[in-house]
Amino acid sequence: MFFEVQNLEKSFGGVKATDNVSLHINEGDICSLIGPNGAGKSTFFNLITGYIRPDSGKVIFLGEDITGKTAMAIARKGIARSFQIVNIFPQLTAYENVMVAVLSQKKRSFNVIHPAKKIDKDEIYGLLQSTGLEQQAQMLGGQLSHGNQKRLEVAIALALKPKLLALDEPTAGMAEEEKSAILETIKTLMKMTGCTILLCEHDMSVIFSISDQIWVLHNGRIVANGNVEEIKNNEVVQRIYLGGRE
Amino acid sequence: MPAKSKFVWIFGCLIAFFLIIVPFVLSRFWVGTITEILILTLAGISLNFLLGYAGCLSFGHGAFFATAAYTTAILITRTGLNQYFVILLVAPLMAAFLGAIIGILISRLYAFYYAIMTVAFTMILWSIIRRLRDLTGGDSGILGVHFAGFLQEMNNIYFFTLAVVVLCAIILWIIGNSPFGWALRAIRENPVRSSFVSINVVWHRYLALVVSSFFCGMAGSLHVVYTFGAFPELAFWTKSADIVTICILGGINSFLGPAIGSAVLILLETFITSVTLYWPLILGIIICAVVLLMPQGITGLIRNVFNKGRGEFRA
Ligand SMILES: Nc1ncnc2c1ncn2[C@@H]1O[C@H](COP(=O)(O)OP(=O)(O)OP(=O)(O)O)[C@@H](O)[C@H]1O
Ligand SMILES: [Mg+2]
Repeated sequence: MFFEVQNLEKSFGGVKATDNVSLHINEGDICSLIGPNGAGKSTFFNLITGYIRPDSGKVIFLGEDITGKTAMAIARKGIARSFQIVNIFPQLTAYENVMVAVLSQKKRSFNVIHPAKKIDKDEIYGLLQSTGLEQQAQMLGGQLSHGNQKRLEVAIALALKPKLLALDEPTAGMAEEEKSAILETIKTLMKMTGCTILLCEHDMSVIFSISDQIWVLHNGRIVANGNVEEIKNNEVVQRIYLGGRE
Repeated sequence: MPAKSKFVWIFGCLIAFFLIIVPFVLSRFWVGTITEILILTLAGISLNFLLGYAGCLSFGHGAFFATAAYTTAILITRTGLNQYFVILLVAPLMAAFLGAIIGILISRLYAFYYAIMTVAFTMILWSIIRRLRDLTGGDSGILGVHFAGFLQEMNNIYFFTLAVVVLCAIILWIIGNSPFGWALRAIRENPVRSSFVSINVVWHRYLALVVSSFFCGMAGSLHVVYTFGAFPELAFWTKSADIVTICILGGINSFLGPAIGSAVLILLETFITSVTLYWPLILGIIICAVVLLMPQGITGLIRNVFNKGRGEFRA
């Protein structure tokens, strides 16, 4: 199994944000995690990427138990993530944002001699270009538009050459046209790099257009899973999620 | 900005020229003052490596300065070892060793907690220095430390200091622009995201402290060359505060900010103490003014003038 989670649990005070979640992701799929606000999607992302530790349960990636490992260790293993709320290096330029990720991925961050700006330029510009940021390369991360900051999120994550790319609402707060543009980008990038994607997204049309597998989370529990058709026709999903929003 | 880089070049050449001719045109007093500025500059640049790049505020760099100063003085007065190039390696290494020990305890701490721990360590060191009278000379320190060879004469001391400070600054500049230096900037900007791009945050902050303490130790050693002694005040917290002050005066987002801060601090101190006893009062007012009116320090102000108030600043 490429990626698997078994009986994952996490409570905050009295709230069970992740309640006995088990799921798996096949290599090469675009797998979506959906659910209403507060369903526990971000918490799940945080648990599998080492931001927070689960109370119990297991996370297994490429046959290895990575439960409770640090964010750094998990990133090294090949799981990169983007954040729902923009989380970049605001006083560094877009180029430098991607650069620090690229250098770290290549285990260059203990090199004290070479000028960083002269290393891996093509690769960094390539990443900026594929996320549509080449024009903004020299702008400070903090001065980019919200949409471009979300793109930068994706570029930073991609710089780590992940095997599994976990994108927590990569289009949050974006305009409609922008949304489809970035999702197109993600699709092409996926084909190019061959990585597997775990995506969390509110927009149903988006989810239905690109997912291979969908898992539905509600109050911290997995309530349904299947392909697009199955989820569209699932009564439970219609009731608690789709119905609830329309 | 060609106009700007041209200006920087011309200005840099003028400064370099000035620094070379100093001993030939200025009095002994001024040669001494400028030597002092250079030494404090190195201490400031080393602190700024930690503060400006990694975002770690050490309020205890005097500890490293003093450790190396005492190591230097003790080596010369107590052992037969009197070869400056050996001493100028061993003493900073002692400072770096202290940095390595303190670093184990504080590299996981941030902001206020980091700062207060460094203050605590200087205070401990200060007490130890005053206690270990046999080794350190207690309150009166170690006096009459003379290097063998050419480091007896003021002009030679000046050129030696200049050479060492410039060399160390170049090394720190190179490290600052390496992938390591950029990892530090990333950590300063956003430690959480840094760990998600697989940067080892704690280890980088730790090594930054070790590097910084080594070069601050180098400044401490030079201070012995210049003053012929080592004194407990070097470990007193006010010395550490001076080093932080010059970084803030000069601007922590600029590599050479501490040089400007150091020149301003020492020149003001020289002038003002000659006319009034209220130097600390005036220094306090100046610091307030800088922090409130030009938060990016003097270099930030200069840059803003060049950028016509676009207010963009970069480390
Ligand atoms: N650090 C925390 N401390 C306390 N409670 C938390 C914490 N993080 C999440 N929660 C709670 O856990 C539940 C799940 O939150 P989570 O952010 O995972 O939801 P989400 O599905 O990502 O929602 P959204 O669609 O709004 O992003 C919520 O009730 C939230 O209040
Ligand atoms: Mg969320």
